[in-house]
Formats: sequence, C-alpha cells, structure tokens
Amino acid sequence: MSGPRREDKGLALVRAIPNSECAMREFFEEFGPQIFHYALTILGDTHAAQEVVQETMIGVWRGASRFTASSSVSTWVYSICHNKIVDYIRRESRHVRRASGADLSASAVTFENEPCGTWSYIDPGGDSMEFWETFRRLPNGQREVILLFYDAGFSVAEVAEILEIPAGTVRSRLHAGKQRLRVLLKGGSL
Amino acid sequence: MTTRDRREPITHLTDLEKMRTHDSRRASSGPNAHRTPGKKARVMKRVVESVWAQMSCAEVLGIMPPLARCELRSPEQDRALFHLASCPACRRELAEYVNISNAIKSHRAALPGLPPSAWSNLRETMETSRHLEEVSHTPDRHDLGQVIVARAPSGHTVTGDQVSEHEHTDPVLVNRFLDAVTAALLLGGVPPVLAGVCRGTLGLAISTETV
Repeated sequence: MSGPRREDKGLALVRAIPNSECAMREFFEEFGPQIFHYALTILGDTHAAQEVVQETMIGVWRGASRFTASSSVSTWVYSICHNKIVDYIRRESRHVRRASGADLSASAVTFENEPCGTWSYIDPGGDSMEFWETFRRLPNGQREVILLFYDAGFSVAEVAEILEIPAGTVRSRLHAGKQRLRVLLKGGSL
Repeated sequence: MTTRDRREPITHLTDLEKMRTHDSRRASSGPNAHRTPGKKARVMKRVVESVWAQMSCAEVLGIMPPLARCELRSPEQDRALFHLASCPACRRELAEYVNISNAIKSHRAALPGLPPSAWSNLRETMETSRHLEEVSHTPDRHDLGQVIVARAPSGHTVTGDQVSEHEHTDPVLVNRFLDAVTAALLLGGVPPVLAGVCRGTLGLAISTETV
C-alpha cells in the first residue's frame, strides 16, 4: 500500500480502536510486523523485540482516543516504539549493572552509547548475516536514523520528530552512519 | 517558459528536457529570434527560476524518501525535480538512497518475522489491563475480600487462596502469583504493570471479580 493511502487507513483505524477490537487487530497486522523488524534490528533479540511491539501496541490502544493527528499515524507509532526501545535498553542495562555490582549512579545510562542486544537470536545466514553483523556495529543513534530514513522511509523532519532530536542531528547521524556502513561493507552492496 | 508550463505540473525529468528543447527551438526560429528578451521577460524568468530553484540540497535530502517513492505533490515535487535536473550531487544521493534502501529491505527478508502468537498475547494483555483498570476504579479496591481469579492458558483457575487444578498447575507459580497480587492489594490496588509481571514470570493472565 502506498504512503498516503496507508496513512488514511491508519487514521481511520486509530479513530475506531477505542470502540473496536477488530480495528486494533487490523492496526496490529498493518504496523506490527514492521515495528517488530525495526525493534529487532535495534535490539538484535526476538524476545526483546516482541516485548517492545507488545508495549508499543498497548501504548497505541491506550492513547488512540487522545490521538489528535497533529503528526502522521506512522510517526506516532514509531515514536512510541522508539520510547519503548529506549526504556528496554535502560532497563536491561540497569539489570546488568545491578547484577555485576556496578554503581548505578556512577554514569548516566544513555541510549546512544549503550551497547545493543546480543543478537544471539538472529541467524539469517549467508550474506545477510554479514550485513546485520556489520549493521549492529553502528552506534544505536546512527542505526536508528538509518533504519527510519532508508527502510521505514520517513523524511528527515519526521525522523527528527520521532527521535525528538534536531533535524541537523539527524542529517549528521545519517552522514556519519552511511560513511561507517560504507567502510564496514567495503566491496559489499553499498 | 511556455503556456503549457503554467497549466500542468512537471512530473518527470524528461518533461524538463522537452521544455528546454522547445524553448530553445522557438527562440532560435521565431520572429523575435534576433531580439534579446525584454526587461519584463527577464524579470519574469528570474522570478520563476528563483521560486522553482530555491530548494536547497539539504531540503532535497530531507524529502528523499517520499521523492524516491514518487509520493510528493506539486509544487514540492516539481521544485525537487527542478533541483535534481541541475544538481549532480543530489542525483547521486537519490541513486544511493535507492541502493541502500533496497539493500536493507532485501537483507531484512532473511530476519525472523513476528510470531503468529503475537496477536493472541496482545489481546490477552489488553483484556487483563481492561479488568485491572476496572478494579482500580472500584471504591473497595483495598478489600481483600475480592476474589482473585487467575486463568492460565491451559484453563487453570485460582480463586483466593484455593487452587483448583484442571490440568498442570504448578503450585509454586500459583503461590508466587497470589503473593504478588496480595502484596499489591495491600499496597493500594493492583497496578497495571502487574499484568505484565504475571505474564512474563508466571505465564498467567489475571482478572478480578468482586465478591
């Protein structure tokens, strides 16, 4: 489905969600698979990605009646998903630090510099394995803007809105991420 | 510019090329071919070109995804195409956008998909959450006389401190669950997050019934 038509359908579903479980299901089928892949390529763990999708959809379900359409439905959903991913990474990081006896207040846990998941559950095999292995070596912040811009197809302004960062930061992360991908995939498909 | 341009939007780069060819032919073969354009024509040309060409490289980069998918509307699309026609760097950027985008999509196909049980899990959480919200709005929510009913996917039922085992109820899990719910009620109500805890650690969905 093309962008504008998809937006119209998404908006109609969001309007219907407070009173219709069918609308919620259709919304889930429309957006669930893509935000799952988005979370999976950030976290590298299918269980973690499923948890994030579930929390995102609960956020949609609870927030549908308050959605004012000041942004597009896709931007709204990805924005919720981004926040759930950040929460997940911080939560996991705190668990790890607590388990290892590290001082939790010693340094702030930030999404951008926190290492991503183990990627132990992803086993695509072949060329794709190399691609995702390379991709996961990018910092979280760069990986997110690359996925949102090149894969999900958001404009720079929309990416900035989803991640709540200035458009200039999005452009510089895109540039840096692309350069790093090029170096990492030397001789590859990029 | 021709009269055609004022009526119809430019939809393809080839349209721009056609216009340029048409304009140059007319200028070289028309009755005014020997004349230089008048002041009014020069001003008009400058105004039109400045409006159409004022999109910067950064602006074009910003809208690259919808531009590549041909989802922009006029006049934004016309302005972007006009810029692309005269900017090799942005044309390279567009080609690179398409390459990277296709590469990510093709490698993404090798990743696992959302499991089929995802919707039923979500639905269960929504149900639980709905029940818990109802309880939290009940005036006597502190009353431990409420009967806590837990339903496991296999059909176990837990009522208060009584456990009736229909199938393979794990008493340790059920006791942990009851402890958690009791503690939550003593603290002032069952918080919504408990639903997630129950599902994640105990594999149980919870709901409540007033006595």
